[in-house]
Amino acid sequence: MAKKILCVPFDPVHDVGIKIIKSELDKNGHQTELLSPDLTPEAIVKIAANGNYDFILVSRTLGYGVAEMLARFVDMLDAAGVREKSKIVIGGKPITPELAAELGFDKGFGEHSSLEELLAYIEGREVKLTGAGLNRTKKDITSKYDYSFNNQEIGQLLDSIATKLIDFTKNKKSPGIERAKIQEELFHTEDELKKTKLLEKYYALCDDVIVDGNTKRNFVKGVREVTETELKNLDSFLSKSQPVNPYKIQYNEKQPLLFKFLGSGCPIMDITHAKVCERYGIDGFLIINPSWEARYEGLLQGCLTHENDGTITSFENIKLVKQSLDESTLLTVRAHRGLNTPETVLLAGEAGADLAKINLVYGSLGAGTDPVRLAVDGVEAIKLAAKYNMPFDIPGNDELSGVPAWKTLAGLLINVMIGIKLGAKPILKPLFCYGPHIVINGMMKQNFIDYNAAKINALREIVNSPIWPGEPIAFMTQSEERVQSANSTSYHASLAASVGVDAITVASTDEAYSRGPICITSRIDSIRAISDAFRFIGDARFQTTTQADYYTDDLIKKITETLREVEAKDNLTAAIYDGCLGNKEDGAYPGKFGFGTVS
Amino acid sequence: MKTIGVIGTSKNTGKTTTLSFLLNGFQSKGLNICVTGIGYDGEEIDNITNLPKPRLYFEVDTILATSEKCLINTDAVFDVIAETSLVTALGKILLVKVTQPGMIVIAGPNSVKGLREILNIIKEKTNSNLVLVDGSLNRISPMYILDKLIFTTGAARNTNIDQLVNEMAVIEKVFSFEKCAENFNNDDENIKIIYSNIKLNLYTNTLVDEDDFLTLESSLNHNVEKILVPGIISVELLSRNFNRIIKRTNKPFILIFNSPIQLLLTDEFLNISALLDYVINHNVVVSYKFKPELSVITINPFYPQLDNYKYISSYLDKEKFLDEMISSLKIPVFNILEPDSGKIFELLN
Repeated sequence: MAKKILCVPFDPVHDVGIKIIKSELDKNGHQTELLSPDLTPEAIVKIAANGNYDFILVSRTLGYGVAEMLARFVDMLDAAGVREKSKIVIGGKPITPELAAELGFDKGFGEHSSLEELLAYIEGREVKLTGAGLNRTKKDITSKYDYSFNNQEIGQLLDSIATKLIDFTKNKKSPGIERAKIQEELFHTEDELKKTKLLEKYYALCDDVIVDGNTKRNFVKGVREVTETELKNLDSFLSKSQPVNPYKIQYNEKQPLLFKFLGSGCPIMDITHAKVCERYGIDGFLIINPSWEARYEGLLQGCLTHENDGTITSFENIKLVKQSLDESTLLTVRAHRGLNTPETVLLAGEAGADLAKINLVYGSLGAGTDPVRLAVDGVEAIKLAAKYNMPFDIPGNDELSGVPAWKTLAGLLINVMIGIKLGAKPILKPLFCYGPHIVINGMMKQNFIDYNAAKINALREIVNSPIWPGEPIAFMTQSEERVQSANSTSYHASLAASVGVDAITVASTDEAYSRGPICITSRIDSIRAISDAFRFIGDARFQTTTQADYYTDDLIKKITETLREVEAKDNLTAAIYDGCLGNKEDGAYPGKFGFGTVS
Repeated sequence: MKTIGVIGTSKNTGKTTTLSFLLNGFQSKGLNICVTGIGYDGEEIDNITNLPKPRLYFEVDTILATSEKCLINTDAVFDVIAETSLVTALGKILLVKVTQPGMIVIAGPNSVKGLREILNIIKEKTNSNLVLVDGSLNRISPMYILDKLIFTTGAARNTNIDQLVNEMAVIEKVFSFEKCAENFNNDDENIKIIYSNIKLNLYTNTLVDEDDFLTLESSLNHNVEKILVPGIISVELLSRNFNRIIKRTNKPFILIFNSPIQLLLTDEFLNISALLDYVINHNVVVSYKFKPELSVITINPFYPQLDNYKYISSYLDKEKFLDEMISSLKIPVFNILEPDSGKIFELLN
């Protein structure tokens, strides 16, 4: 039934909101009357008293002294008998239900209210909220791709490189692979005696620091177990806090998914941040482990917190994070750094993670692991990813060391082909960054668009594979000023949407300058900035210059040359040692962790 | 069942502190107390200044009428006595009895109609012998149906002590007029003119513009004995047009407002005072349809001060503030936090 509604712009300037609302109410068949914004409260009260309205909608921003003014206005309406027949409602950006109650209104609508909520209230029906929970389905980033190669020469080179590497790793063993096998047995045995024996075997393959931590609970500095109380409080927080009216970041279905890092050190803090980010529409997270974890043979066990950067990738921690997230939220676990790559993928798979982060080249060149060890471990890890049906994402962060983009992209493509051959589903993660090689050689002197777009174009011309720029986008373009960082991130995100990639990884606005754990508001900064950027660009596209075409051709040419060079070597590890995919001049060094441990 | 309301000249004048004080004091005397409010009070942090606020702590057996959303996050335990059909911006109002003490935010009925209904429900469903009604901000409108009122004022309203004293003197004056002997129905909505033998209802309940005054003026004659104005008035227009009314009536009459509360809503307090002086000087008798007793005034020297774009806590000279209020007013004045404030209970008995 149509309602009679008086719309009151109780503000001389800000009456846009009430005009929009009036228009919506009219469209829905209600009878509205909009007052001019220059009436005295007494005049408004008289109109309200004489008009037999069902609702008086008051629109007002809040400032100093306005609360008292509104409260007096409500009292005047009450004294004039208006409340006997009309509901009095306030709307304005800062209005909350509590503030509406305090001011004496029957209902309040604020920044986070929807027109649907207002309409439902006016029409006396249940609000069709998107409701508690995110109400979305999990996305498969790889589903649209068949991994066919459009560039035959590159396809053949990669085939040869991948075949040689897989052959090289055949029948080779490492402590990392052995531990992963033991862990797998541990997951599938109930026999306590057998478990004890397996653990003994496991510890025999671990460094003392890890054995001490796991057997004596004597952890490295800054690590402790999460307490029962902390877990109980987390459980209470999770059970009580459901996201209401969650945001959607993407403006259309083609825009990329958004991922953020989790790696505060504390899984409880990670989860708390993650839940807030979920409400703001984030699609997935990457668990980032401590750098020291990469140096040790073996992983710590249990639900552990770490008073420093990086969250420990124990099975319990991954599981806790995964279980705390919405079913639709994707989780990837960094596995390629250090000596525990197969084991980390196994734990991620068992804990229900959705993806694993593996790059055999970057893990060796930029993250300190011996190329042979990581080749052997990496092949096993990719097999495990395939077994657990987890796509694996391949970050190209070696570019940040100073490696030219074409060498990094060649490395990504090698991983893709290895993945294909092992039955896994790889995801290319080129950087959207202002990397050292780009700075020195002026590829972004004219703009930040052409070269980033060229990387995507080049990869697309080579292979039909999912692309997920990272890691994070806008690396090296952010500053200590949060607004600047949010802006820069959102511009890069717009470009990602414009070139139609599948996902992006984004940093918080204080990620590079937090001097400690990043704050949740900074996380929201970048999410909201990107959400606005996605709304802004919609289905439009950036217009690249002709330089982008040149860069695309140049990248494909140089990727081909790089792969020819790699293919000419005995295998990938030899190519890495010889600097084909990044050398000392570039700032890349083959890692040493795990040297000589492959048999 | 007695009813006492705590109302303030503005936010942060000490309504919650006064209410807590009354609650503790009356409970220690063995009274069964029910607490409700006309807005939202007892929250941890001020919705507007972000400064910490005094909170309402309820002992076992206290009855509360508050909105359901206020009962979600509380450390108190309670039994629901009744669900009402009254709804606020924070959900349905429930009548609950505290079974384990704790903090609860109060958000009760926000209108006269709602307050009247909730008082009836409390009377019907509980054995409360006293209902304390908490104000909200500077809101006062529903409180006129209560028996007694406590007015709180303080530096949050104005940091000039002289001006605060003058304002309270006006409030005291407004409350000094008597309840009209004639009984009117609660639903007398419009302006009523009572002649020696007949009553005339106008088609408006307000006196806020020239049309209202013309309507009133044209209905007046020498036989007018009483004029009831149940709605709001414009003090400025009434002051300006009163001569015209006097000329039409040509003899003293009784001007009946709904309540002192209605008068206080109309304008700046000093303008109201000037109007009343003017009306009385023309031998018009002012009275009210409803007249709660203004029993006590409490003062609060605290005020939120803007400092570098955020609010900080500041205070007036509390002794000077209290002394000047006491020496200028007939109604007893207290600083609740001072030792002799226990006398309030004698005054409210």
